[in-house]
Amino acid sequence: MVFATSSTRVFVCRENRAGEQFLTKLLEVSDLTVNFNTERGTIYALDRINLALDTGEVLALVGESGSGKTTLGRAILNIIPSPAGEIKEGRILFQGKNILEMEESECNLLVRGKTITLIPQDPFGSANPLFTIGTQLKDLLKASGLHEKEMKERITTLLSQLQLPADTGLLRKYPHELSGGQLQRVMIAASLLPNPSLIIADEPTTSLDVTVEAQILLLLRRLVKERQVSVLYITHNLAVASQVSHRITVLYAGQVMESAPTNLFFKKTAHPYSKKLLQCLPNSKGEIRDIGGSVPSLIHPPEGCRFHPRCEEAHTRCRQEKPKMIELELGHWVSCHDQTRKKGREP
Amino acid sequence: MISFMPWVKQFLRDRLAVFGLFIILSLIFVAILAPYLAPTTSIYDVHLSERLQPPSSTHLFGTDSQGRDILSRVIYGSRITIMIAVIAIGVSLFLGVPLGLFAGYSQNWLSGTIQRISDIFLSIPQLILAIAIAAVLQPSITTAILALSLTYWPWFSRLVYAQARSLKVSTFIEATQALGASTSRIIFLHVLPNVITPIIIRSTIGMGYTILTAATLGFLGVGAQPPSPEWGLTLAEAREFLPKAWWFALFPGLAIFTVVMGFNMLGDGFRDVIDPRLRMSRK
Amino acid sequence: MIKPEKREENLNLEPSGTTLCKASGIFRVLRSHKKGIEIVENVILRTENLKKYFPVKKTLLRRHVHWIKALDGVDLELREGQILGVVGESGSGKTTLAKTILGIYQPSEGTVFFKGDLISHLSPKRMKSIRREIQYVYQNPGASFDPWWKVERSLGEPLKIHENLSNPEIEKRVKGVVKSVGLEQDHIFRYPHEFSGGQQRRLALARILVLNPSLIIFDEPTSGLDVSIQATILKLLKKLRNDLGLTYIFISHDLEVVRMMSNQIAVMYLGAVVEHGSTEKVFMDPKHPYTQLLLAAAPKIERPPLEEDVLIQGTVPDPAHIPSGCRFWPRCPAPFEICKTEIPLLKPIDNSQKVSCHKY
Repeated sequence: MVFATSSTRVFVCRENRAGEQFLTKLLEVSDLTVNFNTERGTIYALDRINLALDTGEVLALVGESGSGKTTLGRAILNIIPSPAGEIKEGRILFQGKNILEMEESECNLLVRGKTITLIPQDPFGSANPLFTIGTQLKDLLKASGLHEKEMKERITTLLSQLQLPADTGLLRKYPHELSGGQLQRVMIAASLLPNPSLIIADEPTTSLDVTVEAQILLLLRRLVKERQVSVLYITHNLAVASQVSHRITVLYAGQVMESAPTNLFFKKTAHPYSKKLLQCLPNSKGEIRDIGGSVPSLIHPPEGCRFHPRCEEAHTRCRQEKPKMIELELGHWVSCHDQTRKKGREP
Repeated sequence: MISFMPWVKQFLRDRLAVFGLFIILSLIFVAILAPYLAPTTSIYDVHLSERLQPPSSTHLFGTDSQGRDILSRVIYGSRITIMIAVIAIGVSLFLGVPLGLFAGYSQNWLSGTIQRISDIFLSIPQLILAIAIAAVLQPSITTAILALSLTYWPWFSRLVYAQARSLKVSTFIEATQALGASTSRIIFLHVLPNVITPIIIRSTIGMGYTILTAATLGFLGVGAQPPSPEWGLTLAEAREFLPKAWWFALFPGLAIFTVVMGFNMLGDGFRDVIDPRLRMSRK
Repeated sequence: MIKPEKREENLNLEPSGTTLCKASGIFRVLRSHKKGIEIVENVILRTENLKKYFPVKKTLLRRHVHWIKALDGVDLELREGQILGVVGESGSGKTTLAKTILGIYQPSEGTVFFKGDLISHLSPKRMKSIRREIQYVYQNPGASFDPWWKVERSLGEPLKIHENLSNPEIEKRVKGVVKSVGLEQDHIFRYPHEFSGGQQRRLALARILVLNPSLIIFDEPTSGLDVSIQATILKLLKKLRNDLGLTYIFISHDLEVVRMMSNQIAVMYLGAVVEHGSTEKVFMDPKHPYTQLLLAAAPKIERPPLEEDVLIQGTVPDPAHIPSGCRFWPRCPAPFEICKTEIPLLKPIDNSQKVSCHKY
């Protein structure tokens, strides 16, 4: 794979077996800026986000609370609540088409729940408590034009792949009759049923036990491999991200800080924030390290690089200008003046 | 308590609610200042020579079958209306709230009994009960108030019961218990404040309902008795003179209508302001 | 049931081999071994065969059909100043354990001793004074505050319940405690929902500290928190323990967090302790298959992702239908025949580790 960029776009080129190069950008987010207008003021939730996702790739969007990761996930589905939410700037190209410019009806018909699906964070809050699992899953396939029998077959095959036997009356059960792990697996099945190209997983294992989480991560990895579906995996847990993704993108206070292939990210962590995050993780030495300061308010975000108030390497420029994304090495991008300077990449 | 300013602001944006408030404040104003507002204070004096006069400059609302000025009687009637409403709701609150609190929080055999008793009272139509009480005691305003209180208190107790019961198992109540707080402390300082807002909403709407029912009782003759200027009673008296002496029935009727509407609008306004806040504050 | 003797000197040994005694403020546990008598000092908390069963009522007529055995015989011993980590997943009974120790639940069987005194089955009045000393931090700290009260008032409430201080004195204590958890003074005149998750945790902590407790039970103190905030909170907890000489029970499903904070670990599964020992030993050399499973399943950065599904088949069974014999046998990778019928006892392997497994 090769990356080529201009200042505002990130392309992904892929070499197929014949050695031919062609452009395959499944998802391309360019300069996305989202604001929320509230009584207390304008929340500058996302600031010129650039992101790209390839077919069959799992991208982990890592960020803490207030980083904007959920907003980004919603923006891709174009379900940011308006009039409070406002997409100030930017494009979201999905399979070549700009989602933000699509008509609502077209978006509903073609995209949402069809080519892009969502695995929600809280399965119990998302499944309809009044209908059985079977009814809800069949509902998702209504628009596909399959026969009743074919629908049932697809559902049962998928459920068994997720280690949920459909024959124990699962389809006749109601959401609250299942455990958290089971329901989340049903949600994953629901997200796969329409054969989507992109799945947005919003912290799907946060509320689950550790053994159940391990099972689900395993399943996801296997399914991604088999179906070549892309996943945007939103999480705040770096360890989970390391287990499930091909690439990691770190978000802080609405800005992209670093984006790298997973193993490069952990071996050659570049951005000061990423480094600090890794330090915070529990280590066996018994010392506990945290990041000084606190997450800034997005109503009055810091100027320039939003991490500068908490950064040890910050200099004057960081306070004034948002750093551009530079490519440190193949596929490893970072947005930091300090790194830019160190690599001698002054524009 | 939670700061009231944002609530007041939102309330003031709701035109109907403000209108309702205006009506009720006017009612109170009129009732208090009745002697100064009414053209005449002698509302009981009979002037048969002036009976059934249509509205004129001397009698803005006309006169009734006994020659009395209807405007003055309607104004004085407002006092009775307020009195009935306030006392009936007051007694209902006094009975219903403690019973509901106790039953909801204790969850023992006694609470079940209280609930069943309140169910029984809820199932009795107020009018039937009022007539029954009137049959036993003398029909009067007191009878009416008694009947109203006895049939309305279960609404409060049920409301409070449901809230108290759900609060009892909530985390913060459990946490307060774990801190060693006594039951009475929990009930009065924690459960009760949480319960007050639904009570306020229910009381406002209840006032409207009570006034209407009181008027009905007066109309039926089991409530206020002649020569009281109570609006419902006046309507009963006016019936036989319809449709010729239309002014006799119209003005008391309008008064009842306006006041009940006012309370309903006010209650709706309260609910619209309080409910979403309740939902929002429990993130 | 063992009755604690309150005489000055006490060397009576009960048949079970342990006795509690309380002499001039020092609470001792005396254990008889083959080698002689072991004296364990300052046992601040001790539970013996603690059980809590919840009845499941099926029909209107019958009282109950069966029991949910949330806690099925737990023995613990905690010395002053220690941090005990309790690890387990949902259904393990860890929250039930905490609430039973506190007295929010009455034990179905077994006893709890605090500082040498029996505290299970006490009347609410006598429990009140104990409640000052043992405190509990909820999993969802924001929910433990009355949403209609300003936080400042909630912080002062414990003092109003237990002490007769004047309002200025209460204010002073509240100020002190707010400072020690790292919050700003003027923040506290707000409502609970106006604070972030991390701040709510600090507030919950402050409310508890205001009474100067001896033992604090933390229920999932870091779940749902970002890593950096988690680190901040854990640092604060360690500092407070060192400054105030507190004893902690740390309940969490996050093994790494427990490893960082505690010196003793108890691993719970379906209401019973399956492994218990010093943190280092248990992490270095986990003996029980369930402990091994937990350690293997937790995602770690240095370790490559798991490919084997064998170790993680199956889910936690319904607590109402616990398997016979060793409760873990349906998920065990190598069960013996005996595991299906006989419940293994918690046996010490060496000085600092106990396992309940037929393998040993």
